[in-house]
Amino acid sequence: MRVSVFGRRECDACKAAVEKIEYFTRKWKREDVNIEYVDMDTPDGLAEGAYRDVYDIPTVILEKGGDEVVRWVKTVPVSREFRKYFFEDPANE
Amino acid sequence: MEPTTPGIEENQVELSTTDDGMLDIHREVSKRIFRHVRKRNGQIDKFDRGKIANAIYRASDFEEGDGRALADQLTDEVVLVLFAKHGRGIPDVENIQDVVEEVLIKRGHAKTAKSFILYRHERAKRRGDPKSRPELEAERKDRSAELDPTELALFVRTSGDEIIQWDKQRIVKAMVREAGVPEGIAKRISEEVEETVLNSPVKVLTVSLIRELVNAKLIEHGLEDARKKHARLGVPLYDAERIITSPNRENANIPHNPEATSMTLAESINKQYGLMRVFSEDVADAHSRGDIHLHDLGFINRPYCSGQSLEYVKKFGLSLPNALSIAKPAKYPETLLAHMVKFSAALQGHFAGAIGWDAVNIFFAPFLVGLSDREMKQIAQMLIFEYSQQSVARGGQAIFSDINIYWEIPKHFEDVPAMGPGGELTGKTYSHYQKEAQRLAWALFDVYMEGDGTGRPFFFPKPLVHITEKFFRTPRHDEFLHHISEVAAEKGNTYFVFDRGETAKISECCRLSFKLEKEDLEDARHPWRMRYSALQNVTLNMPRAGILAAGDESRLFHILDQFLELAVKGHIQKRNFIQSLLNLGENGPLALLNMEKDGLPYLRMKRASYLIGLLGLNELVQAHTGMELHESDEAFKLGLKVVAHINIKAKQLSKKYGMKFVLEQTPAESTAFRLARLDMDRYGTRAERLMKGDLENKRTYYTNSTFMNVSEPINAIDRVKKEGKFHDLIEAGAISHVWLADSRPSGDSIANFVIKTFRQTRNAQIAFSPEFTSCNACGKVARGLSKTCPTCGSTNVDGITRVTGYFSKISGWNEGKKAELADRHRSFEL
Repeated sequence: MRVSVFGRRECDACKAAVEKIEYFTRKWKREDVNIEYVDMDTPDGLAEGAYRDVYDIPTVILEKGGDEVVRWVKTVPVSREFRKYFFEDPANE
Repeated sequence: MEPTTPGIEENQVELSTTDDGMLDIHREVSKRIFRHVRKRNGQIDKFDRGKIANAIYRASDFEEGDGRALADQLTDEVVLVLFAKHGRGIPDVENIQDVVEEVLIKRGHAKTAKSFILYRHERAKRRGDPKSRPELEAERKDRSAELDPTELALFVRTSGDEIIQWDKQRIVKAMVREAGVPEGIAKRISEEVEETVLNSPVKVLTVSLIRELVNAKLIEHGLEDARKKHARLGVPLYDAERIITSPNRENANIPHNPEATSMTLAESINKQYGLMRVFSEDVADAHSRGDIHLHDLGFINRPYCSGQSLEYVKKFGLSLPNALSIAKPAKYPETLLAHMVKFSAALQGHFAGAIGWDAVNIFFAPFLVGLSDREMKQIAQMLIFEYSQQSVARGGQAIFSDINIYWEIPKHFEDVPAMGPGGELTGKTYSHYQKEAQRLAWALFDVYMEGDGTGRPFFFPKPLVHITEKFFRTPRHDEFLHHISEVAAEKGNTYFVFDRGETAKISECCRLSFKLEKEDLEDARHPWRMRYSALQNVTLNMPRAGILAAGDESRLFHILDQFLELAVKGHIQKRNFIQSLLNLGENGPLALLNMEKDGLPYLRMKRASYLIGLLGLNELVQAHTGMELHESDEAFKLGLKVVAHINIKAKQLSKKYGMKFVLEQTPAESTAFRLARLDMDRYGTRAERLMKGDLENKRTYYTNSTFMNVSEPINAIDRVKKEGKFHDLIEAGAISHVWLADSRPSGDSIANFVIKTFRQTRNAQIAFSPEFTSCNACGKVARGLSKTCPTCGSTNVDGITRVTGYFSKISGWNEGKKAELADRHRSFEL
C-alpha cells in the first residue's frame, strides 16, 4: 500500500498530514505501508501532481496494488477515515 | 577685356625631374588620381587634366610642341600637389587654380604665373565673383539651391520625395547627429563615400543607397555601434511588390486589400525597429536565430491584447482622446452596441491581438428589459454581424473579438449594483437580470446556428461560454447546454471554458485567459474597472532545447532556463518601451491607454501579464526520449516535468522582477512553421526526424503548444483528458481541439462530452471544429472539405475551418498550417 501526501513548503496542514499518517502507521505496526511526500514546489512534484490530477493541497492519495483507492483533498484525514483502508484486508486485522 | 596671352618666360627652368621614366610615372599617376571636379556652381563634372594644361599653355607663351609638353608636365605636378594637399577628395576649381599658381611660381614660371593670375582675376570680375573664399562658398551654395535638378551631374532622391544636389556635408551631419560619430571621422567617411559614388556610373542616387554606402564605411572603420544607430529601415523593392500583389500568409485573419498591404508594409518597418531599438542585441538575435519567438513585432508599439467589461462603456459613454465627437452613456441597446463595437475598433488600433468582453450578456441585460423575442434576436444579430463584418478596422481585418457568456450570474457579479441606460444604476443587482441575460445568450446562439447570409459560420466574435459548478445548478442549464452544443456540432462556434471550483476567468484570443485574483474579484464590485492586458507573448522554442540537450536532462533544463531568461528580458524591454510611450501622455501615441475615466489609466501597467508561450513540447520529448507524448508514460511525464519546471521558474522570475510572467499555449499560427523551418536549416537531420508535415516539400511544422501529435488516432476524450493534465500548469490559457471534419455528432453527444470533460478532466477549454466548403459561385455551404462545390460543381470554393483558435479560409493559411490540416486526425465518434 502506498500513501502519497501532496503538499507545499508553506503548508502546515500538509506537514501535519504526513506526520499523522507516519505516526499511525508506526502505531498500527504497518511497516509495509509506503508513505511518500510529494513536494509540489519542485518540478518533479508538480509534474507528479499534474499526472495524478492533484491541484489542491494537502491531497492524500491511498493506493493499493497501483490503483487509487481513495483521496482526501484540501483536508487532513482523521485516523478513523484511513484506518479502515489500512485494515480492510482481514488478513491484516 | 580678355586677358592677353603672356609671352615666353625669361626665367624658364628645367623641371627637377629629368628622368623620363619618372615623368611617365607622374603622368600615369596624375591621370588616375582625380576623376571629378567640383565646378563653381557646385556641379560635379568630369576631371579633365587637359583643361589645366590648356590653361597653363594659354597663360604662357611657350612654344608649340615643347611648350605643350612643358604645360603637360606642369599639369602633372599640379595634380600631384593637389593630391598632396587635399587628398583624393573632389577638388574644386579654386583649389586647382591656387595650385597652378603655386606650381608655376615654384618652377620659376613667374611671368606665366602672373599672366595666369591676371587671367583668373579677369574671369572672376566678369563673373562678378566676390573675392573671399567664404563668400565664394556661400554663393556656390545659394546657386546650388536654385539649380534645376535636371541639369545636375549628380543628384539625390530623398525619402521626402525631393531631388537635391549631392552634398557630402549632409552625410557628415547625419553621422554626427544620429550615431554620434566624431566629426573628423565623419568627414573622412563622407569623402570616401563621395569617391565611391563619383567613381561609379550612377547618376541618380537614393538616400537609402548613400546610407548603405556610409554604413559599409562605418563597418570598415570598426564603428559597428554607430552603424546600428545609423541604420535605415525599409523593405526591399521585391518584397514590397510581393506584399502589394500577394495575400499575407502569416495571419489568416488578414484579407488582401490596400489597407492590409499598408499594414503589412508598416509591420515590416515596425518589426525591424523593434529588433534594433526596443530589444537588446542578445534578445533580438535569439528571436532571429529562433531560440525564442517575439510575437507581434509588427505591432511593437502596442500591447498584446485587452479584456474588459462593457460596464466601462455603459458608465463613461464613448469619449476617446482625440475623437472628433464625444458620446454620453448610451440609453438604448442599439446605441450601447454601437459604442461597444466602435470602442472595440479603437482598442484594436492600440492592441496587437484580441479584444475580449466579459459577461456580455449579463452587462447588456439591464438594457433589454421588456424586449420582445424578435427585438432580442435583432440585438443578437446586430452584435454578431457588426463584429464579423467590421472589415474596416486595422489593415482591413475584422476585429479579433471575443464575447464571454454566462448562463448563470456568476458569484462575483450576483450582488453588484446593475447599471442601466444613461449610465445610471437601476437600483437592482445583476442577479435580477438573469432572465434577460439568458434570453440574450440564447438569441446569440440562435444567430450562430443560422450562420451568415450564406449559412457559413461566423468567424467573429468568438463566443466563450463559461461552464461552472453554478452553471449546473442554474435552471434550464441542460436546455442551454444542448442549444450551444447543437451550435458546436453544426457550426463549431462554441468555446466551452471550464471554471472549476472557485476559479473565475475572462477568456479571449485563441485561448488566452485571465484568472481573476483576489484584487480582480474586488474590482468586480465596480465592473468598469475590470480590464486586463497581456503586454506581450514570447514563445520558447522547446524542440530546439530538446535537440541541443542531446539526451542530457540537466542540460535540457539549463537550455530551457536560458530561453526563458531571454524571454523575460524581452518582456522587460517591451514593458519599458511601452511605458516610455505611455509617458508621452495625452500627446503620445498611446493616449487612449492613458485615459483615466475612473481615476486609473485604461492600461494598468502594474496589473499587466507577460506571456511565456509554449510550443512543440511534443517534439521536445521526442528529441529527448525518442518517443512522442502519446507514445509512452515516460515521454508524457517528461512533458509534464518540463512544463512544471517552466511554471515554477516563471513564478520565481515574477517575484524577482515584480512582473507577472505566466505560461500560455502559443496559438502559433505562423510560429510553428517558422521555428520548424529555422531548426531544419540549422540542425538538419537532428531536426528533420522530429518534423511533422510534408518534409519533401518543406511544408513542415511543430506540434502546437502542449498538444499531442494531431495525426494520431487518439480517442477524443482521452486526448482531452491527457492534454488537460497540462492545463492547470498553463495559467494564462489552454485549449484542446476536437477536429470533427465532415462528421456531424448530435448536440446531445457534444453536451455529454462537455459534462464529462468538466467532471472527469482538468481540461481548461475545448472547441469542436467542423470543416466546410463554401461555394463562391452558387453561394451554398457544404459540410466537409471539397475541391469542388457538391451543389454546382464549381471549383471556385473556399475551405473553412479553425486555423488555430479561430475560423478562417484555408486559402489564407501558411504552408505549415496546411500541412497540419492534412495531418489532423478527425474524431468521428465522441
